[in-house]
Amino acid sequence: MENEKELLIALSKGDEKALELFFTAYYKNLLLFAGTYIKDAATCEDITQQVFVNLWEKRAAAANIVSIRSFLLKAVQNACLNELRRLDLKSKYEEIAARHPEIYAQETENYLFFSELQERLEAALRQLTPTQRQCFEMNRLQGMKQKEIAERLDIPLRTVELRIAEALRFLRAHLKTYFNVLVILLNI
Amino acid sequence: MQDKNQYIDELITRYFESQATPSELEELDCWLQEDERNMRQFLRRQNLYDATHPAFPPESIDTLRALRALKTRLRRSRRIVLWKRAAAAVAAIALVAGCVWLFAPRRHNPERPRQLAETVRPADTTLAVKLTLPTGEEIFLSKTERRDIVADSGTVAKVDHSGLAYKPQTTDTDSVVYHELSVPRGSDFFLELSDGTRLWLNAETTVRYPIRFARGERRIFVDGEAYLEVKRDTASPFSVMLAGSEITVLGTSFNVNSYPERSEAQVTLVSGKVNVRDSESGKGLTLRPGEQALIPRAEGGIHKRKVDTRLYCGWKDGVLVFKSNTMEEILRTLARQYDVEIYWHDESLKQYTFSGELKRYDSIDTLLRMIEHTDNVRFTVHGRQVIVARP
Repeated sequence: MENEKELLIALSKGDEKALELFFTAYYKNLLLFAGTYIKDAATCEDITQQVFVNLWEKRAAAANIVSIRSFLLKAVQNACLNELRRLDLKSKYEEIAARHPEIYAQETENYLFFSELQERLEAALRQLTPTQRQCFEMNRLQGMKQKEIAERLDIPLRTVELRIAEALRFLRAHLKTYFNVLVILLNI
Repeated sequence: MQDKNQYIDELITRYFESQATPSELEELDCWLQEDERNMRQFLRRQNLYDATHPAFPPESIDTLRALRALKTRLRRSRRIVLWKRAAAAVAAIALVAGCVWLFAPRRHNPERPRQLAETVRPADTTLAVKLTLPTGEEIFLSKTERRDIVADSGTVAKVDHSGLAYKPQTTDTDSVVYHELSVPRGSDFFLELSDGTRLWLNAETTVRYPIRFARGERRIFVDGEAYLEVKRDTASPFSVMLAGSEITVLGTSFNVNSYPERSEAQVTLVSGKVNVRDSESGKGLTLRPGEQALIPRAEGGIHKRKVDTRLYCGWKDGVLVFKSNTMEEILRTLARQYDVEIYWHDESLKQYTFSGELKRYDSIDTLLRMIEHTDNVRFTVHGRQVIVARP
């Protein structure tokens, strides 16, 4: 968030609006992140909201938070791990966390949120030429057949095929590891 | 190399999907041990896999609804029934932020109390507990900010997470100085007076009391609903002035309710003994534990009956007990305690009755869902509005 520092200072002074802005910006992603540990939506909602309640109750210290994103990620992660411990369940990450605590902590900090992944894919799609993107989206997102696209746009079928192939080639090269994700997201 | 990478990716995916064979698992484990970078790669893959296989549909997440729930929670976080979980989360956040809080401004920072008054914006003042001083000065209290209440003679009371507590009185006083405390809708508050008498104040309640009692008489004024535990002092009888009636007690626990929508004021005695007198008609009676006095507003007069005190005093412990109460009564209670407005799609629903015990959960949604389960009504929540309709 751009004005994160100012928002944190406002929060530390008791500005509830600042808390709401953070909540609106991160809630969905944090909830999905909690969902990677605990599969019950209600429990995840409870945990995620409680993290913000705690943040509010200790808001005086909020000005000292360096990155709200990392702070919230860790708080949600800790709350999830505690909940699993309380329920006497093992986290699938437990072994890794015990074996490589620093790596685990760093990678948590680098965790790519659902929306961030979507943004990356969106950014990649934006780099396609308008005609490539049009054919690609009609085909992959709207599920139109290549022949239908050709008829709709009044262009040769061969051109449609070419544009989609170009788009795929570009995305594969550009997204590298994320390409697999795109494949899953778009059901290519 | 490219092939090897792709193979590992496939292996990791099979592992995530629980389809890897034991030999593949072993292979994966070896690869992970080989190099730290492999572990990073694995965790990133897991991140991508998790992000693309959400535990619940991302489009089903309603951030605005959650924000409303959060706001309710901020106001009544002390009431969270899942306190164990809350405690766990607090421990977690403390762990994360331990070093951060260490350098946080401490509460003896003289800036703090002034900041509190400034940061309560006008829109919020209707939601904050308000203390009015004899000078007319208004102080908005928050349980999350500790502060001292200062009168001409020095600090007389402290506010903290548990409520507002006046210092015990050490000397006799001749001049009686009153403070007035108002609890808004959607809130409740705890007050301890200088004589040690304790009051639980329900939503939309105002109480006026001396900061120090004069010798021989303790008198306070209550408008709304309160539960009192009066400190016994035979030399100074305690009396509560409640909407045209006077309740005189020695040492006892009882609930008073004079909410305006009621046609009668109620005094419910839990323990001890109280005298209730209607000041208009001058009629009075004595209550024993388990008895309730009813003082009708219109005609004056007073009578009593036996009741289950939990029905009238449960709110103080965070339990709402209903016994064949009409939907209208129940929703009025909830509206006041959760600061919501009720819209009746169908007026005939008001007469439905409901019995049951509800915990004051952190969200009104939970309560409404429970009522929905047992009765022929359906609630739709839009912001602070609750629409009541037939299913």
